[in-house]
Amino acid sequence: MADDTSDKVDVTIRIDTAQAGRLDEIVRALVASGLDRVESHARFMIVNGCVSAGSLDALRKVEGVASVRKDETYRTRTP
Amino acid sequence: MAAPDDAGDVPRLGTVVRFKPEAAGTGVRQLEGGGFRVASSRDFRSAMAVPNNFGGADVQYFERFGIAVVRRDGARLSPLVEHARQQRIVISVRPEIQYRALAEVRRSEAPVTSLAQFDETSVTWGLEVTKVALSTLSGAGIKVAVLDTGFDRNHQDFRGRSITRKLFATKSSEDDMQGHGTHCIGTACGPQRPTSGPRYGIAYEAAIYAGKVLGDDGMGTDRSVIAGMDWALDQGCQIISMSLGSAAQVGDQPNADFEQIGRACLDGGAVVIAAAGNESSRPGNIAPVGSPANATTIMAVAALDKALGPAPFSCGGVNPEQDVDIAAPGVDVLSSLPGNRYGRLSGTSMATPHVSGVAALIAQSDVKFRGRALWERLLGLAGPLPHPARDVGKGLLLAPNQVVMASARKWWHVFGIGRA
Repeated sequence: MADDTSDKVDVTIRIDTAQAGRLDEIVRALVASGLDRVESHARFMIVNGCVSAGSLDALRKVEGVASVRKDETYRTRTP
Repeated sequence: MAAPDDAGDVPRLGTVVRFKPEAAGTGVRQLEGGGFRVASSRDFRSAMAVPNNFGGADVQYFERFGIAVVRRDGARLSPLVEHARQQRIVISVRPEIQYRALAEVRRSEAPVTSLAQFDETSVTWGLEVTKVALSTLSGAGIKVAVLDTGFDRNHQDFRGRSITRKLFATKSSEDDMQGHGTHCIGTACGPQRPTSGPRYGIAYEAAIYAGKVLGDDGMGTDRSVIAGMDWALDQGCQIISMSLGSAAQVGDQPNADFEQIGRACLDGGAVVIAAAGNESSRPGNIAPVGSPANATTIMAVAALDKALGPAPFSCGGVNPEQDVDIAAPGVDVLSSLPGNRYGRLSGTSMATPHVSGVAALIAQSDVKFRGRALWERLLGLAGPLPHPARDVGKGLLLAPNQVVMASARKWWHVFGIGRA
């Protein structure tokens, strides 16, 4: 979860699979656009991180990014 | 879902047309131009369920998916579709899948009414109906990842087992404070001969990989879940069991991230098996399969009660192409709990590890059963049930019995189930 004292949100970023060779470069661009606490999953072409709410659009503009969404919450599946 | 035809209450199936996303609007306008009355799923967004007859329209259009279900097509649809294909507006055309309403199933014909009472002297009811008890397979050599609330590795029933644990949840202990993870691992990988009570575990010689992706409060986020899945692949797990999720609404699309992740897992030789969800209140309300189980690359598991009907809470394939894949026991499931305890829980959470355990048996039976081949084998072995595919997918989970034939034959007869 994002730090409760900040306006930051946890995000999941999907990278275009055709950009596999550029993943490191894309991650660097995401960091330059404000992403921190970065966790990159190359086999999934998914990047998790944390960003201020006002920087979401900046992440979406990074070349090679397919989507950016705020993290969901998952729970156990008992009624 | 089908509108009644002229002969009475027999549903008339239609045709499912999938448009190219950028051309879907054009395709729908062509249908309207051809005289079809089109109802949009937007009209039903606030509804708990899509009306069966679409308000009398010829076509129900799901704009988020670019999919139109065409009824009363007759001879009019074919030339329109052919024209749209030539214009590259249409990606695919297939017959609608038939669903049977629950009300059409006469209880007297339900195959296991007389077996609703299980004594569970030697095995749990879940292992009995899935024929796990008849199998000589053990899951030996197979790695099963259970991404959940953790695992009590000191439980008396797991001494000497190969257990790897990893914590992904933030602000949480390494212990299973909820007991949920220990229960799920018990079903998937518990012992052949437990210290107390009946056998409740399926793949009793599988290696256990317990990723704690849900915190002490039973909740987690994408970061922990995705990291757990990546870890499971790193460890070489062939099965990734996820009794977790978030609810979806009618009209929601699958999470594209998990579509991509599930595909990568299949490519990597692993099957991801996830709980369909518990938001239904049957028979009145059937909620759609939740995320991530609604991804087409992740196997969605529904829960059955002891009469092998859909559990009242079990989600269904309400949203297009977000289907239930298979069904397994998910009511009053006995398994392990932290502190050398045992207990009964219900949920699609409990159905999921039944599938994961059986998947481990299949994977053990032949090295060719990995990834997509394992997926297909799981569904191919499933036994038909007298319930809509919307609710139970391909049907009842069944173990790949290298069987004691005489014993097995009795159950096949009683259940009326054929074997692959």
